[in-house]
Amino acid sequence: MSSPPEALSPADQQKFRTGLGRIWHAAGFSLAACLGIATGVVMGFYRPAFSLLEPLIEMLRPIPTVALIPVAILLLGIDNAMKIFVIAWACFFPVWINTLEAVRAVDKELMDTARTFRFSDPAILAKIVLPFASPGIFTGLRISVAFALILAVISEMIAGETGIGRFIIESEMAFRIPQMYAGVFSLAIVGYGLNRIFLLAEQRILRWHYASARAEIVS
Amino acid sequence: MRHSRLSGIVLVIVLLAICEALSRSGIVAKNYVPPVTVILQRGFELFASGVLPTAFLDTFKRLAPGYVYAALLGVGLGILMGSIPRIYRLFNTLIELLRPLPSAAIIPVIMLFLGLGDQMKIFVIAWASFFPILLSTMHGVRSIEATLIDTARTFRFGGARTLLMFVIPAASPQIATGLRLSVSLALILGVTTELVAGENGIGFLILQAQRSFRAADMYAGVVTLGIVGYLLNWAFVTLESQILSWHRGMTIREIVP
Repeated sequence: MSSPPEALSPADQQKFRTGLGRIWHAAGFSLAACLGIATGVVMGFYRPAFSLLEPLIEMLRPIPTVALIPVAILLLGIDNAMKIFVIAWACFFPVWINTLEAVRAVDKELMDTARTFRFSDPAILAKIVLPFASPGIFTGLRISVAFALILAVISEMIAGETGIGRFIIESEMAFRIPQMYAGVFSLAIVGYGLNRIFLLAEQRILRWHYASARAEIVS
Repeated sequence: MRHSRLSGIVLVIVLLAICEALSRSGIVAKNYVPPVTVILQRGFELFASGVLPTAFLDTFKRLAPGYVYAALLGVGLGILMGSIPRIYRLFNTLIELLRPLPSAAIIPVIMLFLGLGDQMKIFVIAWASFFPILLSTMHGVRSIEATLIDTARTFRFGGARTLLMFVIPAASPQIATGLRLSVSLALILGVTTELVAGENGIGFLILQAQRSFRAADMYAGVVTLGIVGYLLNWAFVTLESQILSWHRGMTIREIVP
């Protein structure tokens, strides 16, 4: 299939390609992942940190992220920085809450055992808390990937010149209907693919976890 | 689990005071980040003059019907798909195909069919709220204990009676979760549609304020939206625990015979 549909001019093809390329804005996702996991672990592990940060986060959480797009435009302009900020903001909360809950659910007896053996706090974090909380953390990350994609598309529709969201809405406005659907479908494929990749990565990385869970049931 | 929120509340106040000081001293441009007190004052003015209430009313006029359509369809189809395997097989692939579509991406498509008005917005809100309700209802119905259904069958209960007396009550906690998750999605999509193609509503108010450099109005809108989001969630959690208190009682009795 080398011949493209006639409706798509070379300029449009170029736009489509750069548009899809803009998906790197999901870099905001990595920022949110690091921050969310770090805050979640610290808050789940140290009670004072929880008391200190919980009211602030719970105050910010109910604001629908899309409502912050105008704020981000005002403060950061309509370029990459704005989009990365909005994506990072939206992705932070699911990662944070899932990490926090996973860390709090770690077996207290295990931690006490480690303390009895005079494990330091960093060692307990690395050897017990993180491994046991990892399924929950992965759930948070997977939810966030979907958020990242949605926020990227929305922020492109509202502001900006490139991106797949812009491509879709411009095609609609110019009444290039097949092109619009092509954009929507490619987005669906990207969304589906991202989720798939995450599930696969989760299964691979957490294989030991499922294996040990099975072993417990068998024994 | 009780814990002291004191340090956290102090932190929030300190941060707000720092913002106030930075803005008042001119280190941060007032046009971009106005002092917190100015934002609050502006918020009260907008509230008293009826601008904010009208904007919220406009948003809710679309939010409510969209959400109700999604709830009716989602719970209805969820129960059917959860209890009848043939219907599950019929719809499952279609649902799995449509679900990963970012709901924002369908806005242009729906704009094409329904224009820029309220119909388009209601449809998008309904679309986005539909999937969580459908999936949690379906899972709720599918995870009902087979004994319950068998018991109903033994007593020769008809389909409708089994549904009303067994299936819906047993699946209600999960249905409630789906309904609660969807409220925040409905609010998000309501605001999004107003940002993309708005003529009124709270999202439109925020965007207009930003475009005309009325930063205080913009922040006031965002803060009120946060409060509304919080109240909506709180209302649903409270309702859920009120309505489903019998359910918790039942499960506890099961555990402690």
